Amino acid sequence: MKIMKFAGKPGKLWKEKSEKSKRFTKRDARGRKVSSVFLSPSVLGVLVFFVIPFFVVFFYSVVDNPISHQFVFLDNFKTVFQNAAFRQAASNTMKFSVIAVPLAVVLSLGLAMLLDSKMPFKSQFRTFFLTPMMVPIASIVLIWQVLFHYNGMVNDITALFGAGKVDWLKSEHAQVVIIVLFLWKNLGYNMILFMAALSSIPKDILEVAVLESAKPWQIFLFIKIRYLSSTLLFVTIMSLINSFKVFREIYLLTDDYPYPTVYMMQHFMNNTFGNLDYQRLSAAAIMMSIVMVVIIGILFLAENHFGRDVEG
Amino acid sequence: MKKKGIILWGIACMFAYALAGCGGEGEISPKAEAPEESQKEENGFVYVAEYGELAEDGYGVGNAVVGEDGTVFYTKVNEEGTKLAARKMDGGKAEIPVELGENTTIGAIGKDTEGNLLLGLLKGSGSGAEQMTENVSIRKIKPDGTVIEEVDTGKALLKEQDFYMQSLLEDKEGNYFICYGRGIYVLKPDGEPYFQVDAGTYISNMFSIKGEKTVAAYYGDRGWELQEVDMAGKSLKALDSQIAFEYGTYQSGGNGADILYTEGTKLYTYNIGEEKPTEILNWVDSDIDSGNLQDFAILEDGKVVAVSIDWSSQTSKGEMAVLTKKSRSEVSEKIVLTYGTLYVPYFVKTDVVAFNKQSDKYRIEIKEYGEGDKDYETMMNLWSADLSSGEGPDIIDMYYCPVGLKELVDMGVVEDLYPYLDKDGELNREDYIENAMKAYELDGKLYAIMRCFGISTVIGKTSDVGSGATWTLDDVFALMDGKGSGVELFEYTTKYNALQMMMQTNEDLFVDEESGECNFEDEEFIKILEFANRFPSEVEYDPNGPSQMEKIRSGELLLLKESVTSVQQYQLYEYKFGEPVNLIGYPTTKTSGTMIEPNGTTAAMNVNSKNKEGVWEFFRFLLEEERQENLQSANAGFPVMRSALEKQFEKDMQAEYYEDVDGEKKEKPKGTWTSGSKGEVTVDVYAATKEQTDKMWEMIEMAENHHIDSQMLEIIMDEAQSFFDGQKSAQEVAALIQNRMQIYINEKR
Repeated sequence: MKIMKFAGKPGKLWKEKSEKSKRFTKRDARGRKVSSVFLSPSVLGVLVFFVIPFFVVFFYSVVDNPISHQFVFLDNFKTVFQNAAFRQAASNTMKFSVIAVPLAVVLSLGLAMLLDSKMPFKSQFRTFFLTPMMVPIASIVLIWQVLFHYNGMVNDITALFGAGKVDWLKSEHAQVVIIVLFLWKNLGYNMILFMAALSSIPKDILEVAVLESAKPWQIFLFIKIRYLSSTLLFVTIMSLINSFKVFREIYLLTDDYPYPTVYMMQHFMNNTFGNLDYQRLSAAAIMMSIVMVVIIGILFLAENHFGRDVEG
Repeated sequence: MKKKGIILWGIACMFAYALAGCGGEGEISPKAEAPEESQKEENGFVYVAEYGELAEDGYGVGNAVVGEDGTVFYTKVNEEGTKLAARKMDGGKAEIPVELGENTTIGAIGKDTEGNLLLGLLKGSGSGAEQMTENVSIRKIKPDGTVIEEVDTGKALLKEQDFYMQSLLEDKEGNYFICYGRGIYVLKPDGEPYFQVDAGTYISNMFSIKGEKTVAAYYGDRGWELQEVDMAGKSLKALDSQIAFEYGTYQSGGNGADILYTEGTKLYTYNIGEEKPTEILNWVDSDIDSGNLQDFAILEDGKVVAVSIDWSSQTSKGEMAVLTKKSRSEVSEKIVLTYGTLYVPYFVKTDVVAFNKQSDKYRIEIKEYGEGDKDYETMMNLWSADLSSGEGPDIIDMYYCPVGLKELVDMGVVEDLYPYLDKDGELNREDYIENAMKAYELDGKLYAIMRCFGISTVIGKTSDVGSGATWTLDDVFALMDGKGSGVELFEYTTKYNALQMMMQTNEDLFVDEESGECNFEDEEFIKILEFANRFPSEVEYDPNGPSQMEKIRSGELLLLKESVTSVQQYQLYEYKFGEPVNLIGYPTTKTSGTMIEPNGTTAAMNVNSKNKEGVWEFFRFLLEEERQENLQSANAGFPVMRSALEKQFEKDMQAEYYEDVDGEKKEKPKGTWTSGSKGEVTVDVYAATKEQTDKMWEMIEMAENHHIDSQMLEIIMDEAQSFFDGQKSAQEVAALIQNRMQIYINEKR
């Protein structure tokens, strides 16, 4: 754009430009050297802690065991894929993510919209929903145990109405308990992200829409959602990642080998690591990362499609 | 740009390859190539030991102390009596003349602060088992035997029944301290009793710190304790120390330090007030079994003198070792093999030391992952990191192995030993007891060897358990129901103990390894839960209650669960039950309820070892006839070599005789068994009968190999709780266990 200013004097422009470019080249080269010095710790860090371990994991996934290092190509992937426990873990994790992630996104967006409206006790509600973020995970698990244990509070309350005891954590109900726990833990953070995004929607556009007699659902669907698309993508990705990390809570609630419905991918990986079965662990990790990359790729495509006209 | 990218990728791949630990077949990494070299850099010196026997053949060594100049003073005992002798550092031996009155023996040897010897003299009356001590005196002599003084304590110390003198010493004030096992008598310089302190438990060592403080070391209520004799308070008080002490052998540090002690396999010095001890040496590196050490001292020239007594040998054999610090380059190098273990069992120390002493080519160094104050997870991580990186020890200990044999095999860490055994010119597979070898066999491959074993079984009166080879839970229920309510099936057994015991034997009934299916909803498993539920949730030891034998004889206790390691032990059970007994095993629907357990060094060969020949040398050393026929003590277990076990049983059956005072020929006891926490059962064991040894053979040949899966047990224990608490039915619990267990089994496939 700046070049346009010199449009009337092309000869001078070319000369100045070539002199400048010589200067810039030297300066650029020096700058590149300096910046590479500053960048090198980060590059080294990424290399040592991310890139190399990834290759190590890949290497382990194609050898028979970490000792003899016999190349077995895709045998480990085949074994893992055929493993009933892996399939169960993958199915449970998928089921959990399919239910919990949309719920986490929709409910937190709803809460953000609610708190964005003119309602009383807004800040108190905001604090209330953020509280689970401040509680350490061990305490959350303790609270959940008090509530959902066989001798816990929920069963005590249902007993008052004559209902029989339910083993919430060791029955088909276990996944419901885990979904509720996941939502309780994550809604606050997602809500804050949506609230920030909502506040950054240009007010003039909303006012114009109102003046144009747009209905609230039209404003929500055609303006707000479009402006929220990048936040929606971010919240969805974060929720998806968090849904894979729900193992922590389940592990603390139910141990290494829980009731089958809450046996997740992380259980499988954690246990294979504990059994020093690095080759199967690596194969499972690579398979899981491929699935993650595909899902995140799809989400990016969706975001590009729906939010392209509202970008900067 | 493209080139740069390729170079960067290349570097990344090299890093990854290096981190993955892949050196390629046949390549030797610098670390693995020369373990001795790396050791040299860390430790440029080594203590080289010269050994010398203390007593001549026919004598046993009773007591030994190291004098100031390194001379070892000891008592040598044979049927004729006790003599005091000395062995100098140059190997010269001499008897020290000590006049002992009639029926007088040297009970203990001690030292004063000036290099003189103290002899605790016990005068007895009667003979044989009826001998009683009737007088105690302390004689102070110079190292050449010249008597300096003698104090007679008369009967003042004989308040304790079965008094014996464990050790004695004198402080700078001239007070005498006599340790008699559970306590210490303090005597004034003239021999008058001053006071007595009671530790309430067995005192392992009594020593002096520079002649100023006398300290008792023992395992007390708070773990291992060092307690100082408080002369003012006439009691024991905790030694003011900056460090915590562990089980070991504690001695006076002489002039160089306050305390000289051995913990695990290492020798340390410690000065009160310092924050940490100084490590001096590792006994195993000098081929000394620290478990047998009697006394040791560091001399002014830095040499270490150690005296050990092997109490497990037939005549307690004494050995003196003089350890000289030398540069490793001066010492002829041997190929170093590492023995990796979480903890060092005492028999491993003994076997490694014996192997090192006789091998000109190899020496084994023990790598203890649990050394220091490491928690289980840390040592487990170190162990698994070592093994999975391919840098693990040459020899993998299986006695304290943190994972099961199958996991090790799946990791590809352990070598099949059958090819080595088959290739060996002297050892043959057929020479060994088949089911003992099968204990570490998987898919027809032998992954570990054990030197000796015991049999875990259940013993009961034949009139109660019948004379069959096995029994089922229905038989046990019938036995329990047929007895009164106050009758115990097993002593001190909780619901969890009972469940664990049953799962140990029966776990494989509910898991089909082939198909990967489990069936914990089976009627038999529900019976096991119900059986375990018949036991109490908690048990409390009653020190004032009837002894185990009294309970058995009165019918209050029906069965014993034991690990049988000798025919003498079986003889003890016959005595305890007072009528014919049957080693029936744990209840099961299988063909055997008895289990083989390792009872000695049990180890596997690391597939990545660079010295597999050396590792096999060690294994064949454990398996060869000489080592198999000399398991040292009667309770060491059954040797895995069939002929060695046959010889052992033949020896057990040979009666030995002596002539009593009237000239009458009487059978000599082969040994005396003491059992019970208060030693309430003392049995003289005589020659075994053919019937008794046949019973042992039957038991051994029936025994099977059982490995309990700790994770399975954890799931079962976890779920069984709600049944034991009465919250869920056995069927509900079994269904839950089935669900969780199936995931576990699927995961392992």
